[in-house]
Amino acid sequence: MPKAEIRNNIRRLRFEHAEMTQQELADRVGCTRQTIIMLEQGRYVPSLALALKIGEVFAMPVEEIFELA
Amino acid sequence: MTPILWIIVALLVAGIIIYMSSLATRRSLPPIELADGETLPKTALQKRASWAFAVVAALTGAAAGCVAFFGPQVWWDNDAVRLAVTFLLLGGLGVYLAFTISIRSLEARGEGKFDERDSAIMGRSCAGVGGAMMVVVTVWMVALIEAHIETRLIPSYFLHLMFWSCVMTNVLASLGGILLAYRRA
Repeated sequence: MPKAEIRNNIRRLRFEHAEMTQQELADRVGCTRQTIIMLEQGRYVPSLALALKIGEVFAMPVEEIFELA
Repeated sequence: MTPILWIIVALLVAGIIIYMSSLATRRSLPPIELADGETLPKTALQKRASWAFAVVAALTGAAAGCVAFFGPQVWWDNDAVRLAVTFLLLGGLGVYLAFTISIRSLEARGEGKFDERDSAIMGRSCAGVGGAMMVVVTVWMVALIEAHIETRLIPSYFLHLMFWSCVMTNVLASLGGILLAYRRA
C-alpha cells in the first residue's frame, strides 16, 4: 500500500493563535521542537494521539488540521 | 596486513559507504525551510547519541590501536596491555549503558524531551546492526583463514578479539544508526 501524504495547517494555526511559537506548541503537546518543524514541513506524519493533542491545543477537530494530500 | 587492520579498514569502508548512502537519501528529501541563520534544533536523543558515539568510538579506537600497535600476541601475554585494552572497552560499554539509562529516564519523565518520533528513530536505528556484524565476522573469517592457511592453526586469542569487535561494532552501529536515522527522517 503506498504511503499516504498528509498536509496540515499547523503553521497557519499557530500564527492565528497569538503567534504561538513552535517551542510553545511542542511544550503543550509534549514533543520536541524538531518534531513540530518536521510536521509543519510534511516530513513527519504524527500518531493519532499527537494529532488529537494538537487538535486540543487549537480547539479544532483533527480533520480540520490534517488532510490527505 | 594483520586481521585487526583488516577489521579497521573494513569498518572504515563500510562507514564511508553508509555515510554516502545517507547523503543520497538526504538529497532525495525536500529541503527543510528555516528562518535565516536558524539551524534545525537537535533533540536530546540526538545530542546524547552524538556524545556517546564520539566517546565510544574514541575508546574503541584507542583499544584497537593498542592491539594493532603491540600485536595480538603481546596483547595476550602482557597483563598491562591486556588490562588497559579491557578497561578501554569496558569504558565504552559503560558509556553506552549510561546513554541507555539516560534515554530511558528521559522517556519515563515524559517532559516532551523524548517523543514518539525519537522513539520511532530509535527503533529504526537497529537496522544497520545486522549488516555491520556480518561485515565484521566475514572480514575476521577471511583474514584469519588467509593469515593461517599454511599452519591451519588459529591462535585462541583471536576468539577474544572477535568477541570484543562484535560487541563494540554492535554498540557503535546502534549509536551511529540513531544519528543516521535523523539524517534520513
